[in-house]
Amino acid sequence: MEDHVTLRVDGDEMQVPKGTLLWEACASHGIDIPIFCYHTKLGPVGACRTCLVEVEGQTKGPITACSTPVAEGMVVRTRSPIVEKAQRGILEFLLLNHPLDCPICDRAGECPLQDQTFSYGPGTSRYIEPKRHHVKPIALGPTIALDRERCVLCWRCVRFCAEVAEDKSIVLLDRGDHTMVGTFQEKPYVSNFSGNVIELCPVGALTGRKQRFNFRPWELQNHPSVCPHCPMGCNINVSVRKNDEVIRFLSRDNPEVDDSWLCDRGRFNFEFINSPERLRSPLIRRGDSFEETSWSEALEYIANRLQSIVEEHGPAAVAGVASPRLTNEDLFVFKRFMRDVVGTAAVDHYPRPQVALTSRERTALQALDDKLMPIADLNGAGTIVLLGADPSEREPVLELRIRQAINRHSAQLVVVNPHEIALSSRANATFDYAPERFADMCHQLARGLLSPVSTAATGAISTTSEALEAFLDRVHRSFANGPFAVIYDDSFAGVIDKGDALSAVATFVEALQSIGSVGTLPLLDDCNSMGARDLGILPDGVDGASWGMPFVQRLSAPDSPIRAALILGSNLARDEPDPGFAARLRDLDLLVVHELFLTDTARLADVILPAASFAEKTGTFTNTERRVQVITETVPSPGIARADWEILVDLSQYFDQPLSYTLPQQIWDEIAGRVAAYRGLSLSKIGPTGARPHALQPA
Amino acid sequence: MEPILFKHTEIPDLDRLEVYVDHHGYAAFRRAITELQPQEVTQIVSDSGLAGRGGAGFPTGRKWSFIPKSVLPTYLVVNADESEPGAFKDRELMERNPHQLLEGVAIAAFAIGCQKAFIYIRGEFLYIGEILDAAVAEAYAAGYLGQNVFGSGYNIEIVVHRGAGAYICGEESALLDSLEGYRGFPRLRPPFPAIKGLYGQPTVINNVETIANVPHIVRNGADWYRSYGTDQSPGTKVCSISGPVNRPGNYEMNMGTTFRELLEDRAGGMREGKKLKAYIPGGASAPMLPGTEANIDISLSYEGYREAGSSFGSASFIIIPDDVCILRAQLSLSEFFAHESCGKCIPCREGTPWLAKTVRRIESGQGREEDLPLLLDICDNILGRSFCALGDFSTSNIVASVKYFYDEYEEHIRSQACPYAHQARAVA
Amino acid sequence: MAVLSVDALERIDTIVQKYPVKRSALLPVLHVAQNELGWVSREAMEEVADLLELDPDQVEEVASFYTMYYTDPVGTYVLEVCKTAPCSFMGAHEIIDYISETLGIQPGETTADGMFTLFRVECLAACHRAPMMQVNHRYYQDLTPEKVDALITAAQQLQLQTAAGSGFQIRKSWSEEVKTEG
Repeated sequence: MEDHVTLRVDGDEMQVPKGTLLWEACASHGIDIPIFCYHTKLGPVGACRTCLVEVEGQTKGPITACSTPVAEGMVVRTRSPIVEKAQRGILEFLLLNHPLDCPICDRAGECPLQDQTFSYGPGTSRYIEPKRHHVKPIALGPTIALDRERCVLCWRCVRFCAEVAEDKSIVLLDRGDHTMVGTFQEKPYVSNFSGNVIELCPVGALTGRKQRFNFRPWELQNHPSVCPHCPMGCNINVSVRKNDEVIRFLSRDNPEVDDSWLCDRGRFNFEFINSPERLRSPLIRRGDSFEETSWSEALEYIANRLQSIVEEHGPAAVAGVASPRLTNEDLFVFKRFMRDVVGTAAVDHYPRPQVALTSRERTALQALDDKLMPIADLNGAGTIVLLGADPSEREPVLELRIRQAINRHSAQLVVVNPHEIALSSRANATFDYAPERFADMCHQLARGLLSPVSTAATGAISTTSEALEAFLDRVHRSFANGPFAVIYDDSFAGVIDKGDALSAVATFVEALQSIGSVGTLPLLDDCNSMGARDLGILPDGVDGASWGMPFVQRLSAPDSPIRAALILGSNLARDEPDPGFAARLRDLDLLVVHELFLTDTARLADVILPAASFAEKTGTFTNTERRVQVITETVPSPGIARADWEILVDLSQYFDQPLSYTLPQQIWDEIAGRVAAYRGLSLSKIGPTGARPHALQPA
Repeated sequence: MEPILFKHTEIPDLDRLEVYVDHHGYAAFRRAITELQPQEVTQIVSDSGLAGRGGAGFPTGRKWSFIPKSVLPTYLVVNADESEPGAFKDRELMERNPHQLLEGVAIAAFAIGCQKAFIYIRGEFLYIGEILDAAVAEAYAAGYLGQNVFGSGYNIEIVVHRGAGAYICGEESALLDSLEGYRGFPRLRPPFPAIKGLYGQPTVINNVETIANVPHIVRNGADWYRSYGTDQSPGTKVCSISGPVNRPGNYEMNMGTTFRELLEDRAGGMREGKKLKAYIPGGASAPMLPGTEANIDISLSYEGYREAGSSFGSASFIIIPDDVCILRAQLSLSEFFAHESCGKCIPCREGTPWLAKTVRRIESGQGREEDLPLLLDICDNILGRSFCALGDFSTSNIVASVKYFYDEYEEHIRSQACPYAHQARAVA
Repeated sequence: MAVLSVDALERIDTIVQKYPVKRSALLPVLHVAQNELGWVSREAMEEVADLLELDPDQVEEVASFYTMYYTDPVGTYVLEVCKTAPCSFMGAHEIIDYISETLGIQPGETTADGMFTLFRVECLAACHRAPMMQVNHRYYQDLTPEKVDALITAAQQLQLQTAAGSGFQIRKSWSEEVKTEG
């Protein structure tokens, strides 16, 4: 193995790739070396000196394992009298000014300082001088509290702000033993990614203001899951107390997806699970109010009504809409229920699609989908193009991946957006346009790319930034380096003809392909938008039953045939801009809504069925790069709430062709057997960090 | 001995360009860029045996030879952050003979293919900065610096950059961070500055005195330079001497002469009524030596002080008189290091104030028997564990003062008081 | 809020031109700002950040590291007496006490009239002329109580003479007048 070196650590030989840091090499072989400043995701600074080890031939004494690359033939001792003395010495220094207030510290129980002091530190301190004092705790910002007395100045938080989020908010102030972390003139630390510093902090100096004094770590159990708040699909651990209360979300490193980071929108948005407002039992309308009822009564009522509507108006009078926050299993059963049990092809997911696609547009969508790239491949991109897309708004952690690609892998960034976005400041070239002219702009760029000698028509596409020619000139220079990653937002906000916009993106990508290879990533709406598409929860469904028109349009039409609707978690009454739309829903002969809460839409229903949240069921989500990832049941549902697929299986028992699923695994097996996008992707292949079906196919 | 660097002590107004030029000024630079190849200049400096005068004593020619030939741009940075307690030699070299430094910079820059050199002076050297700025402007105007110097096609620009108060910036990688507009934190090595230094480019960092030697070496040759000093330490060394001596100041000494000559002949001996208790030979970071006859006869050289268990360092001699409590002297040094620790690494950040607080407690009469082994053990936990040498430096005089003046520490602890309470205060 | 004068901005522009990377000018530019305002205020840091295309956080991170930048207001004259070993052997602490008594302030404090601030500082590389201090970053060496008196009197007289002028001008002219001493 030419790209590997062999070294000997504590008497055992190991082989690791060249360039590996000694600490990482040891960690990969189960050898624990204490660290504070070093963090796998932040790179070495060698400041805390806790990871000192002996390397034979080093005359100047022990060296830091975190900053030393392995070398052929290296002989390392991580446990020796010299190393142990060094570790005790460093930990004694670390604790000199530390308040030792573990009994009231949130971090106690999962605190690296505590753990490492027990493992490597001295039993007692010889320090009798007065300790350093600070005002504490202070609110570093809306989300984070800072206790400067506990801080060991590893500056992980500072480096996170400087290197990863690049918001430079938390900095080091003053110097020597007066050094402290803080912000400019105590300006609040506001960031989309602030919560990460809580997890990075190796002591109890940075804590979440929402969670302070709310729990002790030893009461908690962590369950692996996936963040349900956007299509990025960041991996999380759900911390649960006493098996029934969700206390927090922690990051769970998936280098392919989140690289261990979470955004605040994801991290801090867990309280809905435990909310007392959750629906606990089925509700049935009695005049203007709702009454609690049993599952059997509710389901029997729904079945009877549906059957009579089908008898009177035919199955096409029944339509269904599901939220792309549901699992693949929920959605698959939903589609089977509608098609096989009720007999209608009228399914859709909401939010999106709002438009029916022409066959040309569907071809364009397919062309873009064929180039769908893994998120991690951004690190290999020569140039990343944000085409009318702002990841910071839609999939925040993708912003961090793009920054990483720029900073560590020298990617170029081109931002084409109607207005300035967070990533504009990192762009090599930016171009803006009036939002309604998105398609024109894509076509012009495509023409410009195909004919570099400025034959592209110059028009008033750019509103404020440089002229198209100057932009193209710079783009040509940047674009000399493929491969390209094109990230587009397929909600096409502000564009009237969204289908046309989709075609325009495909045209742009095709033109770009004349210069180098292209991968695409769409920005979608919800955690399982990709799954909803793949499973054909679309008005122009996969089985040729071309119904064509999206649910919203269909129901809004004057001659709408729809008499009954099942709405699973979509809040159309709130989200549809047409104020008359709620009345259309109310006018239906039967409206059934699955929900967690009494939403605007649920209030219009005849029957409301209490659904399990993502934390209360097992299943899969498909993220923006088509990675299928598993979520697991972590807490019981409130009251008698159930998973959407379970509700539908139960409801189907009142019909002629009942469904027979009893476990989510059965459902996925059937998906993997029947759905083209996931063919062959068995659960055993998915594993703890998910899998992409495309990765299974030969390139 | 005829001075090499201290000609200003014999020639009035040598800080003026025309006077400097009248005394062979810029002749060496002219010769270098019109007659020599860059590697020939490096070779002459290597052959001369010139070693870094900032304290570390690394061979200068070798340092230059590490610069890769194919990477541009390269930078030369002069370390003029003279902040070591007891050191004030670079200040005089810059104040009294600025063009000697500028000419050295120009030659060294030529040798390493650098077209933009920086002189990083400590922030408090406000008036030195003004002198250097004026000298640079004069040299530009006279065509000794700038574009196409002497019609050679060679360009050299010199920027005088003022720091802002931080001893750590004398550490060369911290100096680079500071010059780039950051906190002065020492950098991880590798990469070494010769490969990735200022702005990530190959960089040589040399002390003022080192560079000031270069014009003389290039003009007179390596053999001439080797006629000064010892075999192992060729050349002269500007020695600073301070404390209660009759003529404190800077003296350019032939390497190999003795400290006695510096103390008694040049500095005029101890002031009346003062006796030599101890002295620090190489600035605050060098271990002190008791004022014994043997120690007074040590030869002024890197090897001389290495053998005596100390360090020649920047040849900054601090005289500790017999009426000063050794703990007070130590406290002053320990508080200096605690104040100047940059705070990057734990042993130095936490250890240096602990040392100072402990010495202060013993000095003020609250010492305990276990404090002496404690002091030494704290030093042991800092030494070789800290990120850069500042941590190590903070320990050297604790170890030395406890070793040589153990009785005085003991006396403080036994009597729970400072026996020098009525003498020089030396501490706040 | 812009706090730097046109003159300062011109000087900053000249400084920035010297460096291949803008941020390198941060230390010298902070010196210009402090020279003009007497200290490095929040507004000054914001303006410097703006001029050098940095975030104010990055400016404070640097400004707070170096001892020469005053991040709190100081008096018109800042007396910084070296207290490190060589000076301390030569009576630095006695001089500090003398100034302290004369001005009625402790080290770290400013006189009520805003004229003088006293600091103890570490080695200023003038060990052979001990005891010594810097006043507004100009050196005054071989100090004795008499010399200290003379300096303080000179400062007070200048203050009277130019009572109508700005503090900045007082600072400058006083430095010029007694500069030969350094």
